[in-house]
Amino acid sequence: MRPVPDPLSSTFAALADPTRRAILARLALGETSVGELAQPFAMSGPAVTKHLKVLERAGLISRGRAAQQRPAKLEPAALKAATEWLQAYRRFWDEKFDDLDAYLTRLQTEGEQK
Amino acid sequence: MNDSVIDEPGVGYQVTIERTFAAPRELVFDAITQAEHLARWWGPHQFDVPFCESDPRPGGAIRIDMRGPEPYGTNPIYGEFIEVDRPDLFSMVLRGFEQPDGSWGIEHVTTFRFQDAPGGGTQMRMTTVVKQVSEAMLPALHGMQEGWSQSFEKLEAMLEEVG
Repeated sequence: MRPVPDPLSSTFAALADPTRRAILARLALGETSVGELAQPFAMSGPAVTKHLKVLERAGLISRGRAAQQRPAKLEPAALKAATEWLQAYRRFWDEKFDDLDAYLTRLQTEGEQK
Repeated sequence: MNDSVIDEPGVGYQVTIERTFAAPRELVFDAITQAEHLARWWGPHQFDVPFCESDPRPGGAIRIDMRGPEPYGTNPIYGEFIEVDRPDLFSMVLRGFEQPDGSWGIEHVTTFRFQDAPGGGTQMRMTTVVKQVSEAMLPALHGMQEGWSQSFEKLEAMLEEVG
């Protein structure tokens, strides 16, 4: 994997595309060749290869060296980092909303609605 | 999964939180978008909001300073409202934790939608799409969590005070 200045941002940017998410979902089932990946998306090999390059730069997948097809494989570590970040973010907001809930109750009890 | 959904199993790029509040839509909307309200609930115990400005109109700015006890210090958050349609929805971009190189530690677009809950009150659905997050942010985020859970222990006292 080539080092990138901001790994998590590359991960999220790579995940922001629905086709790339679908490719990852497919790869979750196992190592797959470019040809096999292209089929369900009605996409050309080069178009798939372009997406694979983005995913590879983000560390989300690796490519085999064998043969021309260079089968793609899911690399779970980058996904795990992104998921962990989102979970921490969710916890942050869950607690914030507990406070908002209490605040709203207080506002209405006081009858000081604005 | 309780009240939150990561877009697709194992392939998270956005996070959605759903909550129901026992308050009318207008009040919930205002409590999240108006500075005078925001400053009152944004900071949990031990944290406060010494500065908060909010202009809930498309293109309007939002600024929140979140101040924690040492070693957290003050974290300024900057943002703009994108779409505002009271009391149905609003979206905003938020940026925080400016890095030494001038980039943002966190940048995300968050959309809030509100509708009347079937049993009364307001159903809120918040969706965040991450645009930018620095690896350097991870320790800060973990530290923050620790801060939250510590302050959580004092939540009970706070609720009494509030109630």
